[in-house]
Amino acid sequence: MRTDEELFDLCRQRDARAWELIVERYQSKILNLSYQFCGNKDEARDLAQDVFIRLYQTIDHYESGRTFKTWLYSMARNLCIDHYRRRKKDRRVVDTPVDEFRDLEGGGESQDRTLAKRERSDLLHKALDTLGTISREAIVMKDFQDLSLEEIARTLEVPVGTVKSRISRARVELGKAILRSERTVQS
Amino acid sequence: MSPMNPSPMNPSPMNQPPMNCDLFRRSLRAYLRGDIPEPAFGVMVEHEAECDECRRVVTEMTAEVDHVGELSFAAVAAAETSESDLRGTDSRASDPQRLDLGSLLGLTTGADCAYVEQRLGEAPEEPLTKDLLRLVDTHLEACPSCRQLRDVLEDLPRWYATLPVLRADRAFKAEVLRRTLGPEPGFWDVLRALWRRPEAVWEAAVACALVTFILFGSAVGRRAAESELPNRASLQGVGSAVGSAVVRGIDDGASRAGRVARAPYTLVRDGFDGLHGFSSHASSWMERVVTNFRTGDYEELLNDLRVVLEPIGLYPDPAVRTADPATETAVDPAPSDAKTETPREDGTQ
Repeated sequence: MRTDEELFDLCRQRDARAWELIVERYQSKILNLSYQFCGNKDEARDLAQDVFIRLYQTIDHYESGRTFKTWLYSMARNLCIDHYRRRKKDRRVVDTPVDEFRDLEGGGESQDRTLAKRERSDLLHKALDTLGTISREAIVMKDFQDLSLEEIARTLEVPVGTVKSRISRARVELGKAILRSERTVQS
Repeated sequence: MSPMNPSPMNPSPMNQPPMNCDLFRRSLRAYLRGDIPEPAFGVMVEHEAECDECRRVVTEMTAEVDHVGELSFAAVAAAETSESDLRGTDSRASDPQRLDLGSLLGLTTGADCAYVEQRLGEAPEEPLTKDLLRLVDTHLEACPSCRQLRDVLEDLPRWYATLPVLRADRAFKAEVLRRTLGPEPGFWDVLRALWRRPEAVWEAAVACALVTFILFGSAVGRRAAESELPNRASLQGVGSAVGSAVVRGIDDGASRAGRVARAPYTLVRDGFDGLHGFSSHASSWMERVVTNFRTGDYEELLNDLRVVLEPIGLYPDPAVRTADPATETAVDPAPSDAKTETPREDGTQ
């Protein structure tokens, strides 16, 4: 199987099949990354498509020595942050549609558990929405996308130590936000 | 240091001072510890991204921070010193128990919570050393809010699991490809692409020959069928003459090879004959059908249709077709009688 870098080099020679393979390989990851940033399925879809379009438009700017994954994620991250900042102006509580949970539910799972899961998901969305851009991207990249500290550092172009402190701080912020949301719900 | 204290590293959001290198470096340790709240934290991040010199300092300091707990120990040691100063004695020399940093941290407030929170946040990647774990545990025993936070942080993976995992479908990929590579190629695009291949010339030549043969062959066959015997006979005569000449020539060498060579010619001739017979048959049948339809002779029309439909099993059995629920029981089940009464079977009617 060809590596991402080999495929992307072919893409630069306008190989349509290689481009199709790249899209196939990363489409779900970028879709989820976008969703974790914006919290809305439809917006995430548009955003993820924009990421691939931007990637294709800037295909000639890719430096051959660079890791493709890092290049893609840094591009996706920039677009997601731009979107997140724009959206922050008219921030609203994200209401996750019920149909998004169909994939998660097993056949025997009861409706109560589904509802409980949905409540927790709503709380998490609310808590995530209170985070700053930097904290949110730290959580998304480390905890949701499961990138390594080194990959995040290369993507964000900051030292690994900075990444660690951002992640740590972001988790604490998120934990506190969840506690606040829980208290609000209980009261 | 409490995160909420007004200080250069904790400015009010409304009157936030512009970040400069001096302010950045003065706040650097707190920044790396994660003690700077938003939005000052974001301002420092931006400054770090923009200023090469400060980024270099951060990289150097990071090695220091990566040495787990160094800064915190420094902070605790500073606290110890100030306590000793207050007491006017060197507590570490006089009372070995005073070296219990865990107790000291557990008894303090504010900045210690920030320190413990920071350690809790990085726990999955940075397992705490034995000493630090003791410090944190001691603090947690005395601090319910940090305990709550620890519980939530430990539970974060379960929280994350509630988020839906999206899967990109075919439509997503198709849309991306359409917006990047353009729309799906049309018929002419495919044809143009095929034509650009080197072997396309030979393929086209063979295809043209085949099409010409089919068109020419059918035209000749049609003409022969229309003009009946003379032309057909002449066609067959020409064919036979050519075929016989070829066959004779080959037969001179090898009669077996000659029989093989004659086969395509015979096949073509039989094909023309068959085609002609079928088309004559079909046209006369069609004429009959149209005439019967125009004259209203539906009985004959049905018979004509029956000729075509019965062999393929689409023509209904007359007994079944005419039967109704009332008379169905009266139908004689004996097949031999019914067979003799069928008008077309014996040619009478």
